[in-house]
Amino acid sequence: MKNRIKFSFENIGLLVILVVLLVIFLSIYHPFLARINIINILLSVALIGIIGVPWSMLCISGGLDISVGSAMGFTAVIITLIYNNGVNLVLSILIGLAIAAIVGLINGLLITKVGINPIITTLGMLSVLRGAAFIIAGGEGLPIYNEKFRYIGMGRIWFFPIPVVIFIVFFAVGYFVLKYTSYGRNIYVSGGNERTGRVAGINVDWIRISLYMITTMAAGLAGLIFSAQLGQTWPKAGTGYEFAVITAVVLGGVSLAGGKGKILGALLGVLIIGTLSYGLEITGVHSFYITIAQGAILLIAVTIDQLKLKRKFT
Amino acid sequence: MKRRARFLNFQNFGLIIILIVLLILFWSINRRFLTFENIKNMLLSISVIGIVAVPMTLLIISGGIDLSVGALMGFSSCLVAAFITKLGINPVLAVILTLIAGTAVGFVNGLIVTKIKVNAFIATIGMLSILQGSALIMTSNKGQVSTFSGSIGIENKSFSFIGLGEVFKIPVQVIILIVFFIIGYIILNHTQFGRKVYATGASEKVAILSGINVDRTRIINFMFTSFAAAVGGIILASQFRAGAQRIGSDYMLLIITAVILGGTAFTGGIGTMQGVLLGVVIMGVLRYGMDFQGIGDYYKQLSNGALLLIAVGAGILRDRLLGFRTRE
Repeated sequence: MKNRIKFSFENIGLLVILVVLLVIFLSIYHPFLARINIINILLSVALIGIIGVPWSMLCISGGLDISVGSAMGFTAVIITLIYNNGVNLVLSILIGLAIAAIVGLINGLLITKVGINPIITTLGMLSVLRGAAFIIAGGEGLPIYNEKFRYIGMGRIWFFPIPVVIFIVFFAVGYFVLKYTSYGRNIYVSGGNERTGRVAGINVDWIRISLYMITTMAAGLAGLIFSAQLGQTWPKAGTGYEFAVITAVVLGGVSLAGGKGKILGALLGVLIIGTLSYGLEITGVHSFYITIAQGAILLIAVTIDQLKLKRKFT
Repeated sequence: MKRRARFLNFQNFGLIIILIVLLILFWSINRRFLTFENIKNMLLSISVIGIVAVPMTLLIISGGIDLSVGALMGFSSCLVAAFITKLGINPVLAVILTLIAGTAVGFVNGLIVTKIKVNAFIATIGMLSILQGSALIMTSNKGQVSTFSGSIGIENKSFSFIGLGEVFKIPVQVIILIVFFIIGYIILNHTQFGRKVYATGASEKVAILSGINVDRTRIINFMFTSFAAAVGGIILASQFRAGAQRIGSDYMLLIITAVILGGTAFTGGIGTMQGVLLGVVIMGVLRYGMDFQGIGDYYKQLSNGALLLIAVGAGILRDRLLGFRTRE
């Protein structure tokens, strides 16, 4: 029972921050909340959110992945290349996502079976994917030959852009899985109390491996959407995205140590980060300051995370 | 009975063999690979990596890590350039100020990791971003809209000596590298602090019970690492005659790879300075050899990442074979 009250408290705090941000930007820049702008905010948030949902689940299970940004560019390049060579669009996307899944599998295996530290593994993978993306793409951006491709990034269902719809679907599925399925419960145990989980018969390794695969696939999807929006595929796409994802997720209450966090919190974290970046851009703040802000927010969020953990023991 | 660790343990011996094989390989492809000039250039390319690798080894052995070193190098290059060019400060003073600033960053890193107990990876990633942004702001022009990072030029003869000068035909950077390695070796193997470093990394609880101030040990290592990163940034600024944020952005991966290749384990308590020296040299030979053959930048980036994974994986397998704990 006590847990429930605490959960509401944290999330209400985040909600308050979000509202405060919106109010601040609204007062500085009146057209801020025009319908177009809300959609724009949701659009920029959607990409972080699509990666963020499985990333949160991976984090809760005790894993970490900082190669997601490179996976975006890498997968986008592969899909574009295959598609430009005349392969059916759906098939190209499936092949690209399958390759992303294999990358996630490699990550997962290196981390769980060989035992390499997750950050170092995904750091190395980050470099491998980025280099590979550039090599495969021939060093420059790839044009997209067929306009159908752009539908994923630019199309709308009703008045919601497709990326936002995908994000909402991801969020709903993630929420449901974590809260109502045994897989979801196993995820929490894997991160919160690994040894007990293993003793109880939960295959912690495969839970994490599956989440690594899903996260990388989601990153691939995000890269695809990004290219579709841009109209061109850049191997550089996604550089630095892992940062926004980590910050958003940690802000939302997911503990980097694993075992704690709710998708709802992650959603709020993503919205706050998205609103912050978008708002700062609109009001003309230089992106360099945003970079500093992200680093500072990450440190503050992680500090608060640590202090919360300490409070539990005192 | 005092058991003295061998100077060249099994891993180091293997590294020497790898080094010799690589050298023979590249030399057989192109005889000019091993001329004095080329060897000098090769040492030049790795000197900065090696300089930062020395304290990074101490840090990793003691159980910490610093991912912000690359960003700090870029930041230091911009800072020293700003001091000399924009504020007209005497280069010697500018260098001293930059070194102090760099060491202060290390102090902050150390505090965050030891006192607030934030995971070292995450904390230094956050610091990385802050340093990046700060460096970019320093080098941007008023009203600049594009995200191209600017640079600050340095026109100072005496300052350029650091990066471009030579003493008895040996580049200054290489001399600094050698000095760092000697100091690092002495600290690790012949001082009480070195023993504290090993103890802190091997088992923090036991170290605390033995009366070692593990927090202070780690903070000192963080400060030393940042100091070295600042030195690296200053050297690069002097070499390129400019300070820019992107200087040093690749270096973090290279430094960590070199340290791991040299036999240092992330779980802490394991590693030798000789091994890291070998690791640094092997990486230098690899990179320089690839440059020599004209292999492109992207392949190098890919191979860097792959090398890191191989090095770490091999290290873990070695630890398992030797019976050390491999998981935290």
